[in-house]
This record gives sequence, C-alpha cells and structure tokens, in this order.
Amino acid sequence: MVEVILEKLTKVFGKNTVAVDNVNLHIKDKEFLVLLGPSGCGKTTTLRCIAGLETPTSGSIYIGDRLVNDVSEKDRDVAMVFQTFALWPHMKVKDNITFPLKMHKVPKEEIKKKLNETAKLLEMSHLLDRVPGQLSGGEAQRVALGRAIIRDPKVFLLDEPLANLDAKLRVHMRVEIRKLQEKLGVTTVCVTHDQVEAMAMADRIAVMHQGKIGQLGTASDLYDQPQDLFVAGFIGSPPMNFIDCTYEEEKKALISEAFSLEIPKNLAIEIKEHATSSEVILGVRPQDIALHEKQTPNSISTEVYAMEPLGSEAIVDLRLGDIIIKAVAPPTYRTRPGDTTWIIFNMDRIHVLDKKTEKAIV
Amino acid sequence: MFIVAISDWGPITWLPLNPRWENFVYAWSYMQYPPLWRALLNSVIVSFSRTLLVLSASSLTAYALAMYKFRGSRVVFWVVLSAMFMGSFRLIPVVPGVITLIPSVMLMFWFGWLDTYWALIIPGFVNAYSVFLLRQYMITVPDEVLDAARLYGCSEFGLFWRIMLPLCKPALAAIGLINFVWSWNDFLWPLIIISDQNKFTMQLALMGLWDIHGSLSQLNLVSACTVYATLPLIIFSIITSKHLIKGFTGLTYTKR
Repeated sequence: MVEVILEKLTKVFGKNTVAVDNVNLHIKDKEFLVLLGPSGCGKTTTLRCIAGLETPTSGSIYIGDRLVNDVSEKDRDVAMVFQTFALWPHMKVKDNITFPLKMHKVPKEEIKKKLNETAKLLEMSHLLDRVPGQLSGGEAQRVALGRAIIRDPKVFLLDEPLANLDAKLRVHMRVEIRKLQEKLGVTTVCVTHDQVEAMAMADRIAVMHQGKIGQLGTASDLYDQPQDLFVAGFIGSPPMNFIDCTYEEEKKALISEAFSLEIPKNLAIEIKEHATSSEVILGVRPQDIALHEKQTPNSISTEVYAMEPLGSEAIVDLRLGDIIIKAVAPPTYRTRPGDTTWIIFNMDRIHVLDKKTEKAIV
Repeated sequence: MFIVAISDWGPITWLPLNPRWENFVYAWSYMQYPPLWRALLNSVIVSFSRTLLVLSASSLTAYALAMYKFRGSRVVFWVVLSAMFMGSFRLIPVVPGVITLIPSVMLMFWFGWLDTYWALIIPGFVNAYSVFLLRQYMITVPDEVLDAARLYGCSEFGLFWRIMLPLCKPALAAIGLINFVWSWNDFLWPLIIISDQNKFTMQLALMGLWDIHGSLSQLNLVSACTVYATLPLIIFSIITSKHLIKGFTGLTYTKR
C-alpha cells in the first residue's frame, strides 16, 4: 500500500517567494490525484518536492510509511513524466527506456525482458531503435511513460503530461494514461492547468491557488459545490458568471443593477446565517441560464452582445447592465448581436458567495 | 602553397605543366633537423594532448559553473570572463601574451619544465574562452533533461558523463578544433621554451628550413613540407565537420 502524505509542506524560494504554502494532502493508495491550478500556483513545485527534486523549506513528505524528506530523489522509488518528456536525444529509445534499470544495475537478461514487456504494453516495439528526434509528439510521450513505468515505481508523477501534444492527441492520451494507471495500480499525482484534463482523468482533484489548496474533491464536488470564488471561476467551461448583488432581507431578493431576483426561502435563510454583510456575489454557470425569445414571468431582459456557434452548442454573450455574461444555448439557437433576449436562472443550481470573504454561502 | 609544392625549380606558374608529385616524397628527406616525421609527431602529440586536456578541464569547469550555485560561483565566472577579455592578464596563458611571457618562462624554469613536452602542453590546458563557450552551451540544456536522469538513479558524475557531455558534442567539436588549430599554429611559445631539435614542433621545424638553406631555391620542397604541416588541420576539420557548423553557428542545445 503506497500512500503519499504531505504535512504542512512549505517551499519558499529566495527570501520571500512562497511557492507552496502549508499544504496538507493525503493521496490514497492507487489513487489518481490531480493538482490543478493556473501557472505559478505552486503545483509543479509540490510535485517536484514529492519527487525529491526540490527540498521543502518546512513540512513533511511521506511515501508509504517512510518519511522521505532526507531521502535522495533516486532512492524514493518514484517515476516522473516531464512536460517536455525530457528524453535524452543522444540515446536510442530503448536506451532511454532502460536507463533507470541500468542505473540500478539490473542484470542484462532482466532488462531485456522488462523492455519487451514495457514496449508491448505501450505498443511501441517498432520504435525501440529510433532516436527521440525521429518520434512524433505522441510517440515521445509513450517513450517517456515507458521510461517511467519500467522500474515499477511506487509513485507515478506526471507534470503536465499532455501540454506538449496537439488537441486531438491530448484527448486520446488522457484516456490512455488513465487506463494505464488503472492497469498498473500505481498511486499517481498529476499536475495540470487544464480543468477538462483534470476532470477527465482524476479520482480526486486538488485545486491550488497561490501556493495553497483551495479545495479537494471529486470532479463533481468541485463543479457542483465550489467552496470559494477561485474554484467556482476556475472549474467549468465556459467559466461561471459572477454578478455583484445586494441581498435585501425584506424582499428576500438579490438586487443588482439589472435585475431583482427573488430567491427561495431556504437560500434566504442560508444567506442570513452565513453572510458577513449584505454584499454578495451571485454565481451562475452558463449551462444554468435558459434563454427565451419572449418575455416570460421572472425573466430578465438582456441584450445579445456576441454569439459563438460551436457545433454541439452555442455560447451566447449577453449584456446585463454593465457586465457581460455567458450562456450556453442549444446548437439550433439563432440570435444576432443587438437582439433582446430574456433569461431565467436555474434557481436550484445558483451559487451565492460572500463578497468580503469570497467563500461560498450556498 | 600547394601549387608551389608541385612546381619544378624556377619561376612559379599558376598551373604547373609538369606537376612534380615526387616533391612530397623528397620533402621527407629534405627536412632533417628534426626529420619531418618527428616534427609532425611532436606537433600531433602536443596538439592532441593539449586539446584533450582543454576539453576535459573546460567541460568540467563549465559544468560546475553552469549547473551549481556555490559560494563564489559568480566570482569564479567573472574571473573566467575577465581572463578571456583581458589577454594580458590571463591567469594561465593559452598563447602567452607579451606581458605574461617572461613570468610564464620563469614559471616553467621553476617547475623544471624548460625544453620538455610538459611546457608545451600544460600551460595551455585551462582556457577561459573554452570554459565560457561550453558554459553558455550547457545553460541552454533544460533542467528537466538532467532532472530526469537524476531521478532515475544517475550519479552527479554520471549526469556529466552520460548526459551532458554527449549533448555538448557540437560545442566540444568546435572548441576542440579551435584549440587544436591554436596549438598546432603556436610558434612563439615553443620557440622560447624548446631548444632540443628533437622536440621541435612543425612550426619550429619549418623555420629551421629557412635557417639552414637561407634562400628560396628549394621553395617547392619547403612548400611541400608546409602542405604536410596543414594536412592534420584539414583532416581534423573533416572529422569534426558533422558537429562543427552547429557548434559555431548556434551554441544552443536543441531538443531533437
């Protein structure tokens, strides 16, 4: 059983650049955990700390039962796939893949056997005598994966493994990586800034922001119940719309410049109990906005600003007071900039956040 | 030079009607102090040893300067840079500048290396220019390439030997050739430091031809000897040509 536990992990570069800030994380055995966040949020640094390529400023890292803070990278029994694949261009593919075994002085016969097994598993037997310069992006990716899995590592670390692939291959490889991880049953930590990738591959996702873990949960947890403004805005495509509102207790309504929205009783109670002030942010996913050509009860009038027909759906940008919000419409929906359209929010799926603390209230 | 080498005695023409290829045979007996083979051998020994030493010392120094941040690493780098730009103040001269010439000779005297191969080889083996070029090349190698090797069990020396050096082949080829040519063409330093004719390098031996015969009557044979003196440079350039252009034009690592 190999769990990875990070306790109060902190990494400071220089005097005061805090890359990882007091991170606590418990990665379960055989779990596929994704560290998700924008550039510079500390996710790669966290991964490099687990690999042993960075020394934590403070905190502890456990792999299995072993505290590995003082264990060198090569003795941690972890394997890593780098964003650029980091293949050695002067070595043939087979030498790249078997390098970890040679370094650990595994007998030649054993190396040969493992090489054949790995090549078969990743369907790359025909690539073994090539050099990295002769490989396509997808092939180089498979070689990097082969090099990582050949030594049966305890933990598998993936640093933006799909970032250097084209869009079509990315969709294919994310399935392949997930299947491979399930087949090998290795505890895996993957870093990505792409939320679609994260949601497609992960058992659980840890959203990182400014060196801290904002929220940890399954893809649906993060999508349905974001705990703060950052996670709410980061997860989901197109991103959630945020509208500044004032909560009026007497009317039990959210008031903005463009509308007055009556809210259900239970929602009103939650706001009353948990909000620090009457200033709140209404969060609505574009998928939770229904568009109507004619005015209906409780509908809000908006002006169409732009439209992006994407084939499977259409994204409509709407001017609501001073702000632009996005709504997802069926592919057959037709409208033109300047048209007036009426929208209704799905009240079961709206989010209300405290403007001051940026934490979710509902 | 080649045309003169295959010319007959007498006036030099652009295209000799009866090329005398046998001049290249006569050249072997024409040069006697030292014999041509000995002068060539001396030059080969000195230039190859110096080039190998320069490559090994420079690559190790450049690796340390490019990869490790240690106390004083910037100072060391600036010393290397200044040694490169201020020829007169070279710590250990490649081709001794005029100012450092006498101290360098004194140094050789104290070491007891006057009139030895050591004096021809050792003073040139630390070379600021080579260190700088290699360091600049090495810092373009992405960290990930080395991190991967480190993670998969490579030792620190293994990183240098198995990963960095093979990746630096173009830079090593370019620097190797530059140093080989410098060393091969070096005249002033051997002239001062060597008096035993058997240790004369090719450049000194060629000068000897003029001293002995004192006229241009044997210019074709002198030229034939000079052709022999340039051949190793041409051969060395051909051997390293695969990497040379890359080494000289773009001193950066390319991923694939």
